[in-house]
Amino acid sequence: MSTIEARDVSVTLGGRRILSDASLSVAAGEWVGIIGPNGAGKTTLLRAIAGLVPHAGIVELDGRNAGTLRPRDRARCVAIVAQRPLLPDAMTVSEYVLLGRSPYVSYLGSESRRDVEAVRAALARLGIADFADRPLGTLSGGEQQRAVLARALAQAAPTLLLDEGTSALDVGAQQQVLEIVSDLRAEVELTVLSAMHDLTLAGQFTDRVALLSAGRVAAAGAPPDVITEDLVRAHYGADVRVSHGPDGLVVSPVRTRRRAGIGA
Amino acid sequence: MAVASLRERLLGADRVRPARLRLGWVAGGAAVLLAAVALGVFIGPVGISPAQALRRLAGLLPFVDDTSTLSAQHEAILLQLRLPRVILAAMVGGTLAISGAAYQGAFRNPLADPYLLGAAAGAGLGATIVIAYTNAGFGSDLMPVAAFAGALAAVALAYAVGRAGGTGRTVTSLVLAGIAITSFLTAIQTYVQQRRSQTIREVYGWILGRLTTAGWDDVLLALPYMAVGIAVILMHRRLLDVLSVGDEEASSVGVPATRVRLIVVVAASLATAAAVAVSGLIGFVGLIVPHVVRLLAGSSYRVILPLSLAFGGTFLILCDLLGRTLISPAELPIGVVTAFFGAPFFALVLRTSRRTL
Repeated sequence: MSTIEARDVSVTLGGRRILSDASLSVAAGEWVGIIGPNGAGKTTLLRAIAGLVPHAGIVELDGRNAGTLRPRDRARCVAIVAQRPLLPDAMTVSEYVLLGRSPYVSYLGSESRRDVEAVRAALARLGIADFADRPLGTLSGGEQQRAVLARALAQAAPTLLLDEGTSALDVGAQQQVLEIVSDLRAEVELTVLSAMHDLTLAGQFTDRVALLSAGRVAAAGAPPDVITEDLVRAHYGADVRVSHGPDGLVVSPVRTRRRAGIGA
Repeated sequence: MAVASLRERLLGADRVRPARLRLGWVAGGAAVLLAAVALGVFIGPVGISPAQALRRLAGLLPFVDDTSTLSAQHEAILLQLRLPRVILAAMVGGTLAISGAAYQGAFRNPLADPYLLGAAAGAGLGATIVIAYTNAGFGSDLMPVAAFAGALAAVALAYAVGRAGGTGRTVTSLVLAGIAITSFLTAIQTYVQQRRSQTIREVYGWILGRLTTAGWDDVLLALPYMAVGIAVILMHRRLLDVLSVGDEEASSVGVPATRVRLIVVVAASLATAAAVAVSGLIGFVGLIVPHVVRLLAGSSYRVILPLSLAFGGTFLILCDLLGRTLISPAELPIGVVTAFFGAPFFALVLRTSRRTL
């Protein structure tokens, strides 16, 4: 189990301030979603927590200052699944998933039996054991997504950062990934922080959400308290109706302008 | 569980494993290299019986008596002309090919070759200055030293410029810096060449590559740098595979991508500089051999690096053999031969291979 604590994290890239004093905490075993309009800094916050981008402020992983951890120790704490990971076409699935074992292999060393076993388990868990020797380039989008998740799972980090910040996947594939993560949480103890594009999915899967807007955390709390018609209008500039049904929260866009007779 | 995994392995169904060099490829690589060395040593304008040559060569091994009956002259041709030339061709070819593969991996760019960061232009300038401004001229001891210094200086300059271009886009800015440095140094070299037009022929001869004057001196001069460079590259074979998913992904699994790239590039540049210093500019080997290996044997650097070493050496020995026998007693510049035979061969492999690059 693990906790994430980000305090006043600021990131400036190419002279542009992407994040301003963003603070966020994730309790052990919790699933927190980061929502917010495009360009709000969702992906950047995940990258800062993973140590992939220089930042001001403090990130603590499990109570330890992440800035003082060696890269491999940090990689044993957090695994990140990027939005569009670079997948070399000719690399096989098992070779790719083995990369997740890098934090456990010494600099010039090679993978041990234990690493191979961890990969075998991750492939089996994600139902892609049959694809082990297939090149990544021959897989479908959904299968590739499973391979990427298997790599993160093989990393055996207690915290998973999941970037679904823009709509790279169709709704079925998105749902599948989230269901897999949800199932994993039931088996291995996993703390999840995910940047999310789809507000309905965010409401249905996460324990809490943080709304990021213009680089700041504008609101945080239980999904029904944050994903409200007022806050969505204020930060996304969108007119939506939020309904609470038996399956959880549903956010549907509404064409108010047509109703007012402007759009037609 | 144990039984299941044993059965899996016996039946070859164990599909989860790190990429590795298959024994067949190791044996194949070693066999073609040895065959090429034998051909290179046995064939030449002066007929020396292979049986006698083999006996003489065996005599060089410890505890083996020399039972050959070669004349002193033939012995000198064998041991002082052909053998060092073949050995040097193998070293230079292997070095250029493995360095090219290392550059391609470090920069994640299939068009990268060992001269990408300006090693060729720097060495060319160093050699041109020696040919044009000193009395020593072509083939002097000063040339390899100047070429070596020029190559390393150019790479260091390109790295300094590329790094200053900002973090985050390091790969692209390094490649661009290399191109800029190459243009700049080539401009100076052309200027020097035009100012001293009486030496243009010698400079040109060097640029096309040469193994003509190779002797044991050259072998010994280049060996330490090549050995160190190649050893360091080979040690980073797993890490080059990690780099292939990008710097960000590599960092996220705890691999310091920038540092790995720096170490690999420095090692490859050191080895390349040594190759350029003793053989001039031999194109094509460093670009094409790694791709042929990729198409034939696989995409992991654990496979590409060692096989590039073996096949690069083989390829250059055979090209040198053709270069010195096709229009004997004259010789074709080896850079011409590598491109003339390498390009069609590559086209053939590219068309027939079912693998992707």
